[in-house]
Amino acid sequence: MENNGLTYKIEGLGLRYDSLILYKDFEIKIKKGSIVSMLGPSGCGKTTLLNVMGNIAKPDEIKVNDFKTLSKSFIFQEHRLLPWKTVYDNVAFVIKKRIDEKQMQELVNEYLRQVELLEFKDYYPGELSGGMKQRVAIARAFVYPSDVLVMDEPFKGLDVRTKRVVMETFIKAWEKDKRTVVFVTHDVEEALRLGDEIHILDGPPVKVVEKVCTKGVFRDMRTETLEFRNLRNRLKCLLDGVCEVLDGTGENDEE
Amino acid sequence: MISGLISSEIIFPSPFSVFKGIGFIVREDYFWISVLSTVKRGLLGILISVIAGCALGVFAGLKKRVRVFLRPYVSLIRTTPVVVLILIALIWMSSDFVPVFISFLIAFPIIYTNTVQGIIHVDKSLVDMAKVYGVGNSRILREIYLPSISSYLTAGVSTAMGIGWKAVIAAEILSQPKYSIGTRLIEAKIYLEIDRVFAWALVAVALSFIFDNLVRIVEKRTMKWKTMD
Repeated sequence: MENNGLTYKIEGLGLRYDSLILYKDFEIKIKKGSIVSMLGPSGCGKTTLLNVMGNIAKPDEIKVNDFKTLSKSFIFQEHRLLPWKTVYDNVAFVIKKRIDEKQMQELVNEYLRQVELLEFKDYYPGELSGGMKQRVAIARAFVYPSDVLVMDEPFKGLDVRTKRVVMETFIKAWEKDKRTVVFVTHDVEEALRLGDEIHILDGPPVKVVEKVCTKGVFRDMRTETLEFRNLRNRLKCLLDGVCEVLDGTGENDEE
Repeated sequence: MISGLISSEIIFPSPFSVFKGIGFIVREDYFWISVLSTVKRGLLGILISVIAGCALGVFAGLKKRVRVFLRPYVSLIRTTPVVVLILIALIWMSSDFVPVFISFLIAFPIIYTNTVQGIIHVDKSLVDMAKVYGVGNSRILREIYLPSISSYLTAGVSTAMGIGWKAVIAAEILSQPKYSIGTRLIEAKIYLEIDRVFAWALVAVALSFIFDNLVRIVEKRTMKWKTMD
């Protein structure tokens, strides 16, 4: 899973919802071992792309889909933890029966340590805060031996401070285990902070309007450089422009 | 109060007579065997209905066609008067088994319906999460569906037990197995020992109360997570 310059591709993607053409001959390349942020306004079709990658949505046509056979782990908008299982059992849930008990214990404890929740391993989700629950979801995603980690607006709904802690936790975990991440968001700051590459999407039909390569230089959450600010403002303007166009169509509610 | 107003021990005994009656029946040789036999029959009927109601309920909850197919049969069992069910059972089976069968028929529709509701209301996003992580169907059933329906199931068992005890004793009164609370009740009535009728009725109420609380204790112990949300 090292970044050896190879890419995962989707080519010739076509997908429609009733009369709405969501994707038409769409293509995207994701560099292995990198974090790719897909930035776009709500309703433009970002989640659908993740669903195609995760074999949840079936495209009408697709020429190349490297993601089809890859193993994937997910971090969703909601934590999706099982309320009747402890933190430990929730993380172990996705690898149970795949490896032996002892190995599983070591692995789960290791990832819980990484997200700083080891001392909460016997707690139930109902006893945790929103940010802690999302950190458990991060541990669950990393403990699963996936080729690609897919994230669908995982920081949505968290307050600013909690979001920062969860993002830092994610970066820390990823630095130790640099697997390919496809991250969908409508928040410019999140996209810039995490991504090696930011693809700005517009649609429907969805197209990449701009691609920004940051090589992950903005991951230190404590600093806000002038370059970061300028880029953030430019992307915000670009996204707002996209939003205006979309709002004008009134057809952007399919997500 | 009623006993004071009526002032006839043969129609409505005083609380003192009832407690004296309890003292008598507890000392009788067949007290414990009668109580335990009734408990055994009631629990056996409920156990069978939990197994059948859960299995069919899960299946019907997952498959709409099964649900539609079973609907009229479950409605038929639910709406048929208990006495009619007892009379039919008396023709078909031995007196010992009639209360078990009745307990099953009373509890089954409640447990089945609650299980179906539980399955229908399972959080589908959790099932999707398990699927994208490649968790197998049997584990999804055991680790997501069954825990999700547990609160529906315990509510069903609790209701079924409340109604079930009454039906079991009614069935025992009509089928009169050798050892049972129902048989003791009808004997006391025949001999006009009204204090004993009330004493046995109190024993039946106590049984219902004990088992209802047992269900609650089991629910509390096994579903610790529920109190933490």
